[in-house]
Amino acid sequence: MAIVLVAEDDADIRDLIIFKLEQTGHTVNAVGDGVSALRAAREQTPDIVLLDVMMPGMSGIDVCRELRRIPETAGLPIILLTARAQESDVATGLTAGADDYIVKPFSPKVLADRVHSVLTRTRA
Amino acid sequence: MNTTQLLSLLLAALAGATTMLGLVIVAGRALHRRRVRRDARLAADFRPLLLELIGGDDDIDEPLRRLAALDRRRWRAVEPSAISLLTKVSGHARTALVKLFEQRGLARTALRDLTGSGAVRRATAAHVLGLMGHAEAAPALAGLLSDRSPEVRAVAARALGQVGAPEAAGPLLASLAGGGRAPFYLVTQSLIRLGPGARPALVEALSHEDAVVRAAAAEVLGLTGAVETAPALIGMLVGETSTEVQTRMVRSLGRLGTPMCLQALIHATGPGHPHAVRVEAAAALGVLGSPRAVPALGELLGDSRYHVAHNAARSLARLGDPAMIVLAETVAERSGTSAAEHAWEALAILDLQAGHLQRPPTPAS
Repeated sequence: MAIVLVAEDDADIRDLIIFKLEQTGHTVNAVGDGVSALRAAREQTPDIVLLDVMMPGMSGIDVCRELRRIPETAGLPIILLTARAQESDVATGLTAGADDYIVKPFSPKVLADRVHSVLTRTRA
Repeated sequence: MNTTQLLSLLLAALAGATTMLGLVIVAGRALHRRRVRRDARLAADFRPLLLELIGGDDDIDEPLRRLAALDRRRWRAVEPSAISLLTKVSGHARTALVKLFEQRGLARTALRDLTGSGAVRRATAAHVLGLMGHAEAAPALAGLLSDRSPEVRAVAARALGQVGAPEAAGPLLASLAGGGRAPFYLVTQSLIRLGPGARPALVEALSHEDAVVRAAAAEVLGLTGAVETAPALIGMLVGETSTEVQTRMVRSLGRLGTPMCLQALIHATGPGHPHAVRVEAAAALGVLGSPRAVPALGELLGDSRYHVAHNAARSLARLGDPAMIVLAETVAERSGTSAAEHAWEALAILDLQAGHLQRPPTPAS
């Protein structure tokens, strides 16, 4: 099981993700904005990061790029979570260095499966 | 009682009334704050149960039973959070929430509220029914498309798309007639969500007397890839009198992309058509993507109308090698002409997109 850092400004979604991932045995640390996510990623060294794209202050895409730039976080698996499902939005996220992309509204079960899948892939 | 005494009495009464009013307002606010705090506390108490319902995979019977059995006071505190979550989850989680709402009688209440006297009540009810995808609500929601409140009309148009009942296509299209009782973009988005079942109504609407209805139908048919309706679109394009509708029909033909569309689009670039239609047709030939459009587009490079020639060049740049040869030959052999300028510009944009920053100037420059 893994330590998951969740950055999501919507309390409903944040609570749901925490519930689902803890239910599947992960330890979850959650923050509500991009700047806190960046700080938490450096201080807590999570196994995987879930980033909402639209967050106040610093977007999930910017956090993703920054994490990839910093040597100690460059290899972290990152999943982006967003309501923007256009092809160009997905491409922007993946170009920024994300390993996967989940579109809202989302299924909590699928989210947990995707986290498991990315973790398995990156640990292999 | 003299005038001074009467005035004093009136002032005292006024001061008393003002004080009373102030006290009522302060007490009302205090009660409201207390209720909000109590509801927040109650909502927090039941949040784990709500999350268990949404986040649980198959074992939701217990949280469902407990949430469905909450008394009115507790449910009033939980309901806003549950409705909010309905917009944010899909799949099994959404189904579980809808099941809870059905058991709580939310659909029944909302259906009743659709005919309520307050616009907020009607709009909220339409919103909830849309979120739940409550198919039985479609006729009542269609009735709200002519509601006296514009906000209610907009919510009803969106809700009909969420419900997804194809029989709502006719009322949605009709709501655009006569100056538009519902917002155009909301109606078209909902029509798209209705799926293939809405196509017969859309084809029928191509001959509606109102141009806005025809425009919406043409646009949606193209956006939804209704290739089997291409003959109908082409047939109606011939007799269409509105340039706006013609433009949308042409754009849709480009999206549909059948061989029949290709011929119709080439025809629409002809000089006998309105300028806006020719411009759109030149662009649509690029979207359609057939190399068979190359000769016609090559001809259009020399068109006297700037936007027609410009779009023709941009379309050629999308059509692969034979089109690239036409563009390159036009630059080399027709230097000094506007055709060469358009061709050069299209090639330069391709270069930029490929990451090449410089292209030599045209021979003429």
